[in-house]
Amino acid sequence: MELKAPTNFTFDIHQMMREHSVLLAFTGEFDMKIINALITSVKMKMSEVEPAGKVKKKVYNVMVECLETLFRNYEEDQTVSKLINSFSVFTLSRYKDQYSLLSGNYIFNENIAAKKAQIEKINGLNQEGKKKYFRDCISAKESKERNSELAMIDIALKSGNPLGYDFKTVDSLTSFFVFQVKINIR
Amino acid sequence: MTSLIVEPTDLTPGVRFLPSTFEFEISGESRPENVRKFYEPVMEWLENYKVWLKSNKPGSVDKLIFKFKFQYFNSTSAKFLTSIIARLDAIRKEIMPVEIEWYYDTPDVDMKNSGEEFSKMFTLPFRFYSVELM
Repeated sequence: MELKAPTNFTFDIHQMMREHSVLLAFTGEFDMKIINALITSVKMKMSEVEPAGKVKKKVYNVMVECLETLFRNYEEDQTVSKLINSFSVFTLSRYKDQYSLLSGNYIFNENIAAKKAQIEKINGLNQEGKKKYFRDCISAKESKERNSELAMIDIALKSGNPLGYDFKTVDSLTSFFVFQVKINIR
Repeated sequence: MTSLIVEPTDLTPGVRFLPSTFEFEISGESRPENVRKFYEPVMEWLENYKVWLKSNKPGSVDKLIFKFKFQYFNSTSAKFLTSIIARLDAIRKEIMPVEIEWYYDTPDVDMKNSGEEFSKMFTLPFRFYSVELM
């Protein structure tokens, strides 16, 4: 049987993952079961590829928070259809002297400005400023916005690098939010 | 005063608060699906313990030591840990000395840093211990 199209597609994905040194990639709907399976998988993978315990721990700490943030994004945006949610994506790759954690999920266009402002605010802080912001967030009254801020500042503090982001317009209602966290190996 | 014992799971920490022997420890991973549901009984127990201590101040120990031995906790758990530490600080202010022993896995600088951030928010003393937790 001729399998040309799917074969090409599979090969392209394989090549792309090799080029980007992808250690793990998942696309689909993120629930707690999937998140736990990914965490277990990364734990195993990291013990194979990363000798430095400090880096291993840091990747784990940041990854769990990133995955849980993806899951929380669903809960916040329940009106986004299940179909759209099922195309969220997460990748972990290692290139040269950095690990890169990338996540992508759909977001309402009306929420872009707030998300962008949140990330830019964090990126504008030095490490001491981030620590103070973290303390403010954990002692503030609980709210969805505060929890989202707390997750972002926690990720930024642990990674020690600026948070990367992009919004790809999908249609008049939604965009695809790409979020990148880098962790230095040395 | 009854003890509070919660067995650990992959997602939730183990809690061993034993007032009869003055052993207080919380350890493991903390990323519960419902963080509030997990931590509310712990906070409620501490509130009750504070009330109990007011009329039953122990003579056999001069301070209470609470051990925190986390391998990981997510940011939402951090919020509830703040509330737990605030309750311990209230015991220290109103009843008797309380100390926190903060254990972290040697390579886990993030866990050490988190403990240091908590210690900046409260006046009760923190002692840090680098150990092999894995």
